Amino acid sequence: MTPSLTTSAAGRTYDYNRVVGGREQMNGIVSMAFGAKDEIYITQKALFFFDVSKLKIGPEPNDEEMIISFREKDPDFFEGTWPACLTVGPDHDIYVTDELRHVIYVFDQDGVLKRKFGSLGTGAGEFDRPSGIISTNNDSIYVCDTMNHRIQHVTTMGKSINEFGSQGSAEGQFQSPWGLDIDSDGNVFIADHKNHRIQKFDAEGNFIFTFGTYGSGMGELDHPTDVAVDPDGDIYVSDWANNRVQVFDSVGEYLLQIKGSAIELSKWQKRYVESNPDVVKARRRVESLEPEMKFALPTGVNYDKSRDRLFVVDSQRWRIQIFNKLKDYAEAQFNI
Amino acid sequence: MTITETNLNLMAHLMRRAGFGADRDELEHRVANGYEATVDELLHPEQQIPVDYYEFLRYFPNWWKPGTMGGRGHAGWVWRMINTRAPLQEKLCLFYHQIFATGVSKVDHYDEIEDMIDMFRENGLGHYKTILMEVAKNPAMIYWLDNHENHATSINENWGRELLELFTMGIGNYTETDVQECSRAFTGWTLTHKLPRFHMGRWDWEFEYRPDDHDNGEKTFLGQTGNFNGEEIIDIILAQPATATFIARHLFSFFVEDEPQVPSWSVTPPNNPEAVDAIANVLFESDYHIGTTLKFILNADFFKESLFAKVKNPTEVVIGTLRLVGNTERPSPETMDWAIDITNMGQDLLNPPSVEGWHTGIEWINSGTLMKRTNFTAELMGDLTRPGVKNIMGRLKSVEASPDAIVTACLNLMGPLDVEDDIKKELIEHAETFGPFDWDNDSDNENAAAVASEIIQLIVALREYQFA
Repeated sequence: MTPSLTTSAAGRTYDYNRVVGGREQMNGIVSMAFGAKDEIYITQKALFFFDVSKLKIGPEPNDEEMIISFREKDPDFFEGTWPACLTVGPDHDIYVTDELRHVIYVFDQDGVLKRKFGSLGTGAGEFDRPSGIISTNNDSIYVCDTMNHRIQHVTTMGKSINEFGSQGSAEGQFQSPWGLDIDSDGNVFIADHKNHRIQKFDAEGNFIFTFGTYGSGMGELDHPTDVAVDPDGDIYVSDWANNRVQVFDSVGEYLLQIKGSAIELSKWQKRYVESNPDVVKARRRVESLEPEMKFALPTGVNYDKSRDRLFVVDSQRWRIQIFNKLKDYAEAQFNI
Repeated sequence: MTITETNLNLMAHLMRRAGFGADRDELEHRVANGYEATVDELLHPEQQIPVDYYEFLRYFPNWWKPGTMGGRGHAGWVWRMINTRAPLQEKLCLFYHQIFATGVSKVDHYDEIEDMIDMFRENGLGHYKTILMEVAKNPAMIYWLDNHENHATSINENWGRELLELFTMGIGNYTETDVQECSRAFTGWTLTHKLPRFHMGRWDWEFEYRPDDHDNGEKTFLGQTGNFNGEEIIDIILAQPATATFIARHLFSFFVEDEPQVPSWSVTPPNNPEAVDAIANVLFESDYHIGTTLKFILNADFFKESLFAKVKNPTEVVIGTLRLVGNTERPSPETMDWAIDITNMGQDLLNPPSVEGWHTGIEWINSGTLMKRTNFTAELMGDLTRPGVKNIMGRLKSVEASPDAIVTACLNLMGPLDVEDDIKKELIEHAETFGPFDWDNDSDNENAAAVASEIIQLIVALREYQFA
């Protein structure tokens, strides 16, 4: 079935907006976070390099540019790092988890390293392959301490505030948690990656509810990587191994799925393709370009509250697919 | 079952051949369970918790559909072999990869060859016909042996020839006409076009049968005449006793005892013709069921009597050592290094030197690869922080303190290995420079462990340790 450009259910509509990305700009993209004024930050695990980059993605098509590659500022620093996920704090600093060195790096907006905290271990403020990270509005961050199978709540200076969870599959336990988000009430949502579910906790780490079981059916999950919550309370899950994003309501009831809608090439992809005649010919001789529309192992979901847009990190296709969330969408007349 | 030297030796032998070796705790546990029960367990990989490959992709996303990867495209398979609880399943993947040798040097898409390995993993213990049919439709193989260039109006004999020469019958059991007729039957077995890879990553090839490009004429193949398509050709091939003998010799060479190199098989008889005939008979009677045949082999006297009759291939050296020393389970930058270590020892997985696969047995060894083997193994066995090495030290503490007893125990734990008296004497002389082994306090413990570690490093450098 051809992927749809518009997906609707239960009064929500997700309308394909555009695609941003390319081999050079987003090779190996793993995660993203919103910065100021149409800026985003991304982490990349490319074949022979790791990076954190800042890009501008304006509201209009083709209004996008690469601003800074942190690695280009200091290539040596990024040797032997595994940047995983990132978040932007109220101070506009960028907090990046490093799964190889087991630390959190704090960069300024220009990619200058300001400080780092954490080290390998199981104690408070120590990490074992930290990944998902999200800042709160009060100078603290939550971190998925992945291989310690717990969530740590620390200050922006790395001082422990609280921790919750342990290894297991019972409510409140985790198996390699990866991505996370907080809602407007401060509740924390965790992509419990190897338990194939999402768990919700209050700000203190008290368990509230869970949803999702292993599988590929509606509402089932296969290695979820990230979760995002919008101001309406709708919950987005990057359902990694099912190559889709699923949308749930505020109590975890399944609403709809999106499988990718990139009907066109991004600005940068188009530039690459058009300058390589063999690639143009190869795209013409295939039976269908439809596979190019679909997600391939999406690793991130981020909700742009300022413009009601859903950003999906389409990791294996080196791009971000963007969807508008519409609340008053009306289908075109059938006999138009 | 009681743990005796004899059944411990036999279990160690079984686990080296049908797996990647096992540490002493596992061997003792398996001896207690019994030999036949262990064989049955190995033959049922579906009863084990499978490796979660997403764990690897989570840290190495580029290995989803790996490109040329600086020669590291097999790292995901290496990680899987380190972590599998069904080692025979992975050994069979190696076995089939050696026969159906397909390389990234030409295919240029590791992922397509990985798909073939996945197919071996899924079907390896089933019928050989399934393997042949799946390989015939495998995009990597089609491209590797040019079957996409095999047209009704103009045949390309590459696939048809290797199907007979290397994958089923062996030279001397068919004619040039058979090669051509076989190739005609596989016309139209081709590939769909791929999307190009450069602007948003790699895509799959798909097998496609094109009836309009298939030669529907009458063919005469191995004495039979008809309008044969590929599957009927495979059925005729499998009905030949020569095919059973050829596959039996492959199984014997991989699991029992090194045979001469495959290209010489048409003129060199098997080392043990009776055993090969017996295996061929089981293959033929079981409709080429590999699980049934392996059960026969692993329980046969000729197998139980073949201790150390094979030179370890590089994958066995590396994976066996990593599984022994432990703390190697997480995907890490070291995983990439270990993948390259196998290559540097002469076995570039997913990139064999030719369609004939690797030359095996004693040809694995030359002055360069021997140094690589020894250095790799000695370095890991010398790492006293590794849990497997700590376990060995723990066991050494319970033996007599004399250098002689320590050397005997080390040889036992590293095999058990039998070495000639003069070699053992040299090892004891080295141990004697330290004197009686005293593990009583931290300082003594550290010194004793360091010397014991040196003895183990000397053992892995021995000729005897290169054999499985």
